[in-house]
Amino acid sequence: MDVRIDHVRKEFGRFAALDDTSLTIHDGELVALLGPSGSGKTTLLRVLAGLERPSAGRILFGDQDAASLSVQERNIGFVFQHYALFKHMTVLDNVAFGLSVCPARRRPPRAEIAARARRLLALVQIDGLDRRYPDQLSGGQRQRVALARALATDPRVLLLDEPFGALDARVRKDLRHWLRGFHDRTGHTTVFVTHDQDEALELADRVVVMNAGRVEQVADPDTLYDRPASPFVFAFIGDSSSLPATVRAGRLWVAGRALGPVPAADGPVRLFFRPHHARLADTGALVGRVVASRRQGDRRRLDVALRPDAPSDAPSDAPPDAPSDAAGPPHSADLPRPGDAPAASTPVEIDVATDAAPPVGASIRFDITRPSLFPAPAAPRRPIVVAPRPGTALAPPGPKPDRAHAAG
Amino acid sequence: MPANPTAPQAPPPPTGEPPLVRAGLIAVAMAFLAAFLLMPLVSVFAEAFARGPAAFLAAIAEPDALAAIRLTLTVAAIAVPLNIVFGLAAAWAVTKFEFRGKALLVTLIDLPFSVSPVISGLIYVLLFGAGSALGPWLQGHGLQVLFALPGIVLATVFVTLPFVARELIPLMEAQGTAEEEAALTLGAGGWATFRRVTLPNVRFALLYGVLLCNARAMGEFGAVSVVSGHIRGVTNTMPLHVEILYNEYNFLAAFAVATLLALLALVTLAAKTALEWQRSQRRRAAGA
Repeated sequence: MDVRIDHVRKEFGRFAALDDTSLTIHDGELVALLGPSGSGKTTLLRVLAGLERPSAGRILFGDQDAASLSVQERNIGFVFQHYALFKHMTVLDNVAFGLSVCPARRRPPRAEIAARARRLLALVQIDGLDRRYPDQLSGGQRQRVALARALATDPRVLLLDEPFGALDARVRKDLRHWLRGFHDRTGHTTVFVTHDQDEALELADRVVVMNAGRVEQVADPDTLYDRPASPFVFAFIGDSSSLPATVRAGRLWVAGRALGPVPAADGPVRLFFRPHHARLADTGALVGRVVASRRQGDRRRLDVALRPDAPSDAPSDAPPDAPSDAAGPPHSADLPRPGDAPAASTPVEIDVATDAAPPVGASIRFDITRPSLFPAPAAPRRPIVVAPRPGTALAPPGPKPDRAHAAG
Repeated sequence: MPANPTAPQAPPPPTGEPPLVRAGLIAVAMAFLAAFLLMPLVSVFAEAFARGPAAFLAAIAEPDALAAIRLTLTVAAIAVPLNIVFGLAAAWAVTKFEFRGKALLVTLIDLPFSVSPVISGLIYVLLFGAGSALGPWLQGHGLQVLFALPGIVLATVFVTLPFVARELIPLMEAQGTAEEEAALTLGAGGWATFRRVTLPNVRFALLYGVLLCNARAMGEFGAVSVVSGHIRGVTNTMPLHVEILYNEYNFLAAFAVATLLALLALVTLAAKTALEWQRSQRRRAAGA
């Protein structure tokens, strides 16, 4: 059974936690809702569960409108962030709860309830802890009990709110693998909320990236990482740097240097690239100074401050995917360089092999092997508060705008 | 370097007080307890048994005393359940819902604590007395509120109103609504959620509130004194009876009834301690 979220909006007072969200979750899918805190992912999960009522829009379970269904009637399994196990009940009673509160005519006999609860506990691999209380269990065990409890009523959809949030790193990783395997075995339609991109990318069939109450992109992990649909997704998934750039006559200009031909219309753009899509080269198009260097796994990551004023003499035999100024630059000093002023001050991150890492302070040249372009942000981003208060909109960094000056 | 056996003892823990200060504080606290709590309590019992257990029993078995005991138990038996209902309802409303006037409700729950009990009694005299708007109507229908059981119950309920709610609100606030929400998603209805999840979670706080409420309901003097009318054997509760006996210089009987009240306090204290002990045991078992 598919679950469709159709233009759902949810406001808390004047705050729009969800703003026109649409999404379809397919039968048997494992979907991650990923986003920073306050992006509306937990609200979406609670709206799905019926714990919150949407301010506008519809939710469809199959072709049934969920508005007519109470929380109890939706038959969903919900695993809460801190599990919300019933403290005063044993593990077995916790798992049996959903069956024991069934209306009398649908309720299985007592012995069968216990048997089914035991089977579920075996399924989540915590046998032998039936008589324990929740506070006698470890975090990972609690999580499994919560999962078994949610599965007891044979839910149509399983919803998990930050399922690994309260666990330590080691257990987290184990449970992640286990949950993926569990899903493959049981095939429940599952939606989980996380702010951890590794978790989302590793676990989910599809990832829904949310920001400020809206869906930014829905894609499988590969597409999401390799072809982010928006600057937000690019910056949020994986590491990246961004630079203001300009397209002029079909060529990309960054910090006063031409990087190469790009299929884009003329005008200001924003260039994004990942640290491992930069490559040191004596003939590199970009020039900068290493301001910091730190170890990351098997590589070193450098913070590089770009120098727009150094001369550029990149050769023409650069690889085709490495943009270079093959056509020979015009005299950069003669040209206006719109938008490149901040580039000199904001360092970018590039990865280099540990044995080839230049020291801090060194001048380096590098190419960007895979640049991604997005339209330059024209105005401050849409604030998520419905009625904007003064000063809440995100102002660009740097000197205060004139307004502050006039007020002073 | 080998440890020096004659080295001065380990320095006190950085957050501790010097031993002298510690001993002094303990001594002061103990002295206060002995002087202001223990001594009066002992003297009440000593006075009651001054002429032997037979005289003690005779004083208690006296019909007016028995009537006072019966009345006090009746009042508590009505006031305490009412308080449980109100306390649960108020705590539920305050902690599980957002609504206008919530802050006002919380403030009002505390009102009986901040008003002198005598005023609490007077309120009912003004409401139901002969000079009030309701008075003549009540009289016309033969309903006796003041100087009768209803008045005493009303005054007691007023005075004890905050006890259960005050115990429950902080606990239920701390517990949040996650477990209730979990119960709902598992298909439990409102009543099943309350009976099987909410109530068991607050049972210790509820019991504790009931104990305190009961102690106050039986021991209340000021408010009850105003509305009772002090009719011997009819509207005298135990505390009022103690006062009358005392005013009549019948010290033995006064102290004998007083011991019963004091015993109640001690039983309450013991029950409370037992409760707390049980809780800590449970927590320890859970921690193991």
